[in-house]
Amino acid sequence: MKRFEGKVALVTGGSRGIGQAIAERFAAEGARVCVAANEESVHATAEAMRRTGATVVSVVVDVTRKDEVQAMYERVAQELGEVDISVQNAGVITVARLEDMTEAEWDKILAVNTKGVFLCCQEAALRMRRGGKKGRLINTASGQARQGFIYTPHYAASKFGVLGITQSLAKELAPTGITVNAFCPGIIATDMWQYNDAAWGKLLGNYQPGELMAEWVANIPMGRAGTGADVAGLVAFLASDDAAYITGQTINVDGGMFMS
Amino acid sequence: MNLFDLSGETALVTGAGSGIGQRLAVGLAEAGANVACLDLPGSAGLGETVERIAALGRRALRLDGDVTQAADLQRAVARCEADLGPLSVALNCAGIANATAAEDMPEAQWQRMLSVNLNGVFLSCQAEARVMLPRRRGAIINIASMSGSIVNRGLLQAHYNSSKAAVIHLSKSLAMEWSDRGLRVNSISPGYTATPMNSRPEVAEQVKQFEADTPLGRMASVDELVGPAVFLASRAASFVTGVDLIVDGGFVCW
Repeated sequence: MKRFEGKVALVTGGSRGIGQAIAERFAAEGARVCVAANEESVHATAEAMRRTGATVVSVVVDVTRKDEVQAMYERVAQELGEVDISVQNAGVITVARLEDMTEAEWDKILAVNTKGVFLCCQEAALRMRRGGKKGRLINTASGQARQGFIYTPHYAASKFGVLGITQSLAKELAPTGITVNAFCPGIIATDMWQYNDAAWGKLLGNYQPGELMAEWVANIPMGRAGTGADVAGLVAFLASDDAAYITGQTINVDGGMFMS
Repeated sequence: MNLFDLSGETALVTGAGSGIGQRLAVGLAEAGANVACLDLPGSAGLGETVERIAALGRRALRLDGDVTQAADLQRAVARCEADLGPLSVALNCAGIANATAAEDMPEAQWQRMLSVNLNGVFLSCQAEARVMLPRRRGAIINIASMSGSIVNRGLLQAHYNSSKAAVIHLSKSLAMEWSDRGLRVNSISPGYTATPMNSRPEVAEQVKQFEADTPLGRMASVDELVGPAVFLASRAASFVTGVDLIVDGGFVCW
């Protein structure tokens, strides 16, 4: 029997990168999956997963809007059954010097990365609690939830915020058996890191594409960037029955970049 | 007897990606119709619906759209007519269900239920009738529920029950309005039906109660709604309009 057979898993930010890898892992282990993202390409991601025989719903959603978030979980309930595992992974970043950081930029990063995580946790947890489910809420934080990087105060704040949400909700939900955990990816080879490499590279010196990331990766004890699959393995564990007694925790998945 | 033959008919089915809508879309094709299948973008099952219809040797069309959006429906009907031919059968199945105690229900949850289950059916009927009326030919079938006639003991779904009662009366109202222009409008009210929603382990105990409360002692298979739908869509029902056909294993009779 596959680990997640009969389970329904939802992953926001599921169209690409880490979210896609997590969604694919859940599907491979038998879950029915909803991939959600704020871009139409999420439907193509789902279609590719269906070709492997998976049952997948795709939803275009803005996680900063409560009505859209509620409608998403409702739709999942209708098409796949009530959600058992909800992974709040949608996240965005910009890189800017203090003098260039706009208020709109600050608000947007906090809205998606922090408020969006809360809104999804809220709706998923209410549904799990109503149904008596010992569900799993798993939040994507970042190495920047351990230590702020330069030129990204908004992103660092948003990811530290994710840890706060995780711990607070873990306490409130502990009596129900619903667990809430977070994870901190380090440098993972995704579209976001392609942006990071270029954006930081421009502000920190005269770097050619790939150079800055290579320099940072060289400082990772394990000597390589992570992959979506590296992250998906941890998330699958946190979602499994084996992790039933783990809640309110934040686990780094970063090749030893930060040690706790 | 070919009273029930739908060969040459063009049907549109909303909510065709799962549950009753999926089975009925295939059922209309089994009776001979070509079928346009509408569901929300990203539907897990819509591709399967289309494949099953094509495997029967009928033409199928996949349509993405939201029944709460009039423009989506207008576009769907137009594409259906362009690709498959003049629309003559419409089966409006798109709907949602959930439960919350009435005193705790957020207004948004109430509104959303009405928006999908009632407004969605009205907007679907409107878009379909606008192409059917000029040709003076068409059969529209709306999926209501026995919950539109009775209240399910113990289920906290005032919004759902109300929406389905409204679908029944909406269907009768449209039947009256369009009766002299060649359109028939009826509703089907399923009782407890074995859809994916009712096959989940967490509702297993409730399902036992549903079965015990049903005179025939079990839930309906979605297969058992095909006959009623094909009947209402076909020439066999040429003098039937404004009817709510309850298909419930006898539930409402005791």
